[in-house]
Amino acid sequence: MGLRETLARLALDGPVPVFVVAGGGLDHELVRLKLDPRIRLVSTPRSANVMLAMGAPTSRLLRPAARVHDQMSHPRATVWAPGSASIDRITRLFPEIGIVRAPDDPVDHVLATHERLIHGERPSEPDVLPNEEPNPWRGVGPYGQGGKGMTGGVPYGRPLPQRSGDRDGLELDVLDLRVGPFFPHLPAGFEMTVKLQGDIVQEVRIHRPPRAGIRSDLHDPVLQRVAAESVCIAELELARARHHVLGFAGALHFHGLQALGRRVARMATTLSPDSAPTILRLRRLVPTTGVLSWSTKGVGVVSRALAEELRGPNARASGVLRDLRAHDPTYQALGFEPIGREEGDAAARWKQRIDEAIQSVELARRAEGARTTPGLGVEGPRGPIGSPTLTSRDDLSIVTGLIEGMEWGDALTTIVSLDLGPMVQL
Amino acid sequence: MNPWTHAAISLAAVAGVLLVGGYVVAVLDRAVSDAVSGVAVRWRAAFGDPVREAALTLLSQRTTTERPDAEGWALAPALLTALAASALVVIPAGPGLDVADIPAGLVLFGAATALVTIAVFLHGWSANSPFPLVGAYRFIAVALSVEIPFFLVLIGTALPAESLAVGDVVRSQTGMWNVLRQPLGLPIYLVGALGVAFWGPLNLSDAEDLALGTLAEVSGLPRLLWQSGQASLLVALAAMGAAAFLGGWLGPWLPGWIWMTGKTGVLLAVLVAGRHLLARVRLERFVVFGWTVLIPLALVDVFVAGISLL
Repeated sequence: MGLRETLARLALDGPVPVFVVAGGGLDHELVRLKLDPRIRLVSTPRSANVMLAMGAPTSRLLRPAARVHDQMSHPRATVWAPGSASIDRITRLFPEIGIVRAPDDPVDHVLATHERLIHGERPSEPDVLPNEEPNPWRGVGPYGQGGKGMTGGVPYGRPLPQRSGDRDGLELDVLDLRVGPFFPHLPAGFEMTVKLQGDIVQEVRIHRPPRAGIRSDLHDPVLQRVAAESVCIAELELARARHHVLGFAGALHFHGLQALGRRVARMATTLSPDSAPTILRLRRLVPTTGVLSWSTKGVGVVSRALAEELRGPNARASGVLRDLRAHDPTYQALGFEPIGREEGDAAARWKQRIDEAIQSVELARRAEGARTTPGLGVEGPRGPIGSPTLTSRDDLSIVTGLIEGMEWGDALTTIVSLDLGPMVQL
Repeated sequence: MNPWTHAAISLAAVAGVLLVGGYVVAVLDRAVSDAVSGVAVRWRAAFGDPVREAALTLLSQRTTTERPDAEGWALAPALLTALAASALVVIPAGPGLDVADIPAGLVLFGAATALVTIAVFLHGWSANSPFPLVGAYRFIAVALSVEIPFFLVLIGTALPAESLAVGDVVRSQTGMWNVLRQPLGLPIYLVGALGVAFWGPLNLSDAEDLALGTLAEVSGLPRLLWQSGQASLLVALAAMGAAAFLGGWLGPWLPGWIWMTGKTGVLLAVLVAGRHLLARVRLERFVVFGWTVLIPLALVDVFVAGISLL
């Protein structure tokens, strides 16, 4: 048996590294993937052999998806799980991608595809986009730009090194960086152009979402119904708790605690009205990891005045205690009172969500058969359902204002802690 | 012994320790990960998966970026592994069981671990891509605040030994281990080790918020080499921690090398657990912490070590 066959035989028994490209509204599906021991979700396409794309693509996202695809190392394959949507557009635009329709369990398809790929029964997919330099090296001039002096072109299709304003006494060359729309830990479709000087965010431009008010945070069946009809409060509150606990699991992963994140995600999938002690234990345990202190404390502080522009837990973590549930007589009868904090930083936003999750589970336990009162509006996990969320066009400027001048790590910590909704429905 | 035979045996011993040690790091990492994520530890997977993942990584082709510094990129993982090996050679596994227990062992160890900065920067710089470059900047930014206290507490252990040879440092602990004699030493050393090996809470250069930073553009064999280089570095750091603070080979009944292996294993487990139980620090806050808390404490440690000799 040759070395390659031996390696292939060994490689097939391990978890398959997968880079996931997913649209909004697939949080539950993503959690299931994260908890599946047969695959390993990776943070960069370079370390994946299979790209798993989920959702029906818009043409705006196909090109970035293709860019991610081309970054994977050979041997590579794509599994596209478009749900019920048509895949014509994908096959028409990118006929080279081998698409496996995966209406059932995408993981089974990933495993089967991977096995065939490693055995050499399926060819590795070629690049989808042309692999060529935007401005090829021409060997003439100080930057190879093909002319004398500074004229004659832009080397490598990028501007020449620039200096930016001095923020911390150390002037480094500016790095222009485009992040998204599939950057892990950022909401689906979130795209921004950043000017970095060293580790400091000098300028940021968040790309506007294609249309405002995509309410894809309403991935939970209960939350989908709640705007149209009166729903059982116990179900609604459990959905809210699930949303917050899942969000926190993602934050733990972002801060380097993958294993603990998996534990918390599993907890979220099994929440019941009796789960308050479990979340409370989590609330007591988590501070020992430093995730609510040295990683997030004092980061991305939203002042009370700025919080007036925000909604939901983001506003309440800065002391603006607006909550539609306070006006609902049924909730009042259950003893509901909005809870809040004053600090307004990333740590406060996560503490706020965990506390609200505990409160929601308690409400679910007390609610029994009670239902929401129609016509009063409903408070969702990210604020009133039906009102624009923070991912709407105007509110993104708040995010921009917050993260300019921060270190890159703090900027991402801030964005993650704001629990922005997905910007696209892939 | 013929010097060539000695060199061959030494080389094989160092390579063997680094390979086995690196594998133990990978196994421990999976076992602790299972335990923390709330499932029963899958020992079969813990022992098998590192080999399977390595096989898959080897099967994957290396990728490239637009005009990388190819030589630097290829050299960085080799440099990291060579530095780990250089740091390891000065640490004796038992009395007389050493590769190069030279009179200036602590100095060579310090030099090798300090040069890790070059390996990490080279790795990030050479990719010619923003995230790896920012990862490289970050390591440079944090390096001094980690390495100064790290070396200061090591100097503290040389004082009672009145020697810079690691074997002498171990022998000086016959009556009492340095972990008790210099209580500040080991905790500061472990924080420094996390920083030097860019591991767990101090993994800022290959961090999740940079899509793995200096590793973001690497696949195939270079990825495997980089990861095994990092694991080798952890092994060398844990071995030095065992020798300098936990009495190295000293211990009753069992042969010295078993004590040394056990103590190194314990420190490796502590470092691996740190990765799963402590969140990533913020760069700026950690640098401030390093200069205002760790370095003064390390100086106190050296001062206490000096006073106790009077």
